[in-house]
Amino acid sequence: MSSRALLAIAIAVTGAVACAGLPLILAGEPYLMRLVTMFSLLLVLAASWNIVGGFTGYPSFATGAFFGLGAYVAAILQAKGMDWRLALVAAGIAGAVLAGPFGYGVLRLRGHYFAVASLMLGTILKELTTGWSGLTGGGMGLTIAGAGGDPELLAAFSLRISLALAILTVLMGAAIKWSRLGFGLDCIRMNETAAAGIGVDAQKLKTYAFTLSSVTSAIAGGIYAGWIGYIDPTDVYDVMWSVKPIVAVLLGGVGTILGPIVGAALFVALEEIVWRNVLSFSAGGLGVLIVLLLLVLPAGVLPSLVSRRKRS
Amino acid sequence: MKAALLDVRGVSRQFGGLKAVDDVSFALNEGEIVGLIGSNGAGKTTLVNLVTGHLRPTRGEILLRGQVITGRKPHELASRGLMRTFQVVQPFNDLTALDNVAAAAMFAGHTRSFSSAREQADAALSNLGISHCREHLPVRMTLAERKRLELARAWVAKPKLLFLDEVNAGLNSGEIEGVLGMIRKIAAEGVAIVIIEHLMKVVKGLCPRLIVLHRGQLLASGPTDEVARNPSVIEAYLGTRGAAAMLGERQ
Repeated sequence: MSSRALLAIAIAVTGAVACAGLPLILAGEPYLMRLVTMFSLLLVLAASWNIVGGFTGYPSFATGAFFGLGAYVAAILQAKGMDWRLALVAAGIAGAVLAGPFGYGVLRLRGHYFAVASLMLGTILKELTTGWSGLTGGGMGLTIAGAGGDPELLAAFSLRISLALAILTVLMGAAIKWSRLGFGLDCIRMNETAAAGIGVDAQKLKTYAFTLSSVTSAIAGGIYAGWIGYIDPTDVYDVMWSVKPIVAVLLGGVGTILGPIVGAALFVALEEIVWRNVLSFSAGGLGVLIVLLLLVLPAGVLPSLVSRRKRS
Repeated sequence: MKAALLDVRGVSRQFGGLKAVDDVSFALNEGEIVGLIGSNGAGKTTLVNLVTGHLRPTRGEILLRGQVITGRKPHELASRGLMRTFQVVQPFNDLTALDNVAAAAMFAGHTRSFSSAREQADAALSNLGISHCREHLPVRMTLAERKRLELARAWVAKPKLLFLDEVNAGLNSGEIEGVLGMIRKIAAEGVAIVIIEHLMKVVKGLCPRLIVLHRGQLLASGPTDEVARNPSVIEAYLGTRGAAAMLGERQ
């Protein structure tokens, strides 16, 4: 069996075991459950971002926009009585419907220009959501009664689906990376002119990658809305939902399969350590730590370890 | 009459006030080898960019086998058999030589599976005499090897028409001989080739026909010997005094 198949199976099995076991092991530990759920959602966003930012080399800041969109779509539909599963599917579809045309448009831009254009999407959606208060509750936000209001049940359930989605997203990343699509994205990242010269339809492949990554980001938003139970525009369209996944992937290893997992875990751990120790300066402390880590391990933790082992 | 492989009709491209290519027309037949020459800044590369879709003409029309392709995207033209190499080599730096070529087999060559793309790439590398670079990254290859890599990438896509933009630039005479041998090999398979050069002597032995650009305009087109003797071509190359000296020498 190839090493790739083994890696995919290892991820799937570990994930399935964790999905089944963790809610039982952590029952009665709401803090740890919250942490694992947070890690899982961050992992979904990090692995999603990695497809566009890592594989394709387009530094997207639109992750948070799709996260927020998914949160609102799922919340509104659930408030109207839709089943949560269908609501999550609808969130994913909404992500794709927005990402397709938007991506097709802005993926013509490169580098900084693309980054800024993608950043605007969240701002626009936030304004629209706030303004359309008849549907979204505006600045007052929306309340979602998940799992019949039982907090323990809701916590276990949220952990399971967010972890399951995280594993699926990592596997989707692997499937893309090892496919014809991933090969094309590789070429685009390295040299888009040459890629076009050998017949790669860059515009199409970039749009596919962007759309796929937006679907999982939007579903993550939907899960988050049900888990937290209350959303408002400043929370779910916070730019941090775009920035954190990028930092996580940079920490773990850009463009790798396992990088997002390592990076998301590291990020959540660092965030907790800083919160506990320097509460008054938490964001600053976290920033300093991250900058230090990136200076020491510029390619991310995983690639740095691998190359160190190769050298010795 | 059968449509020409490539038919360029009155194509122009303007950059601001500069007419880089000005009302150029020419046609190519299947399997033909043509030299496109002209001094630096004559508009050779711009013309190639126009034909291969990297630039859009401001005026004029381009037909491939009778079908209008003006303004089509490079990737589409590449998958329809119109390939090019770049004046400055454009490898995929994090891919091995083998995968560089396999990518072309997969996308421009319409190969679905990785294993078959790599097989074709392997054959292309050995055909071009760079099998030893199979697992090398482009940075570890010499310029001559990288030029051959570009040729391999173009060749593996089984093009109908291949533009080679200064494929010899920066190579020594021995390396040039090697690359010219490769070009003959590719041409022998029936691929039409346009060789872009500013050195007349490189194309003389290889191309039965020449097209000369000068300041964006078509200066001359025809059999190589005739074009090489054309006084206005010599003048464009050597200047008035140089041309007079050279013509005087001959007489």
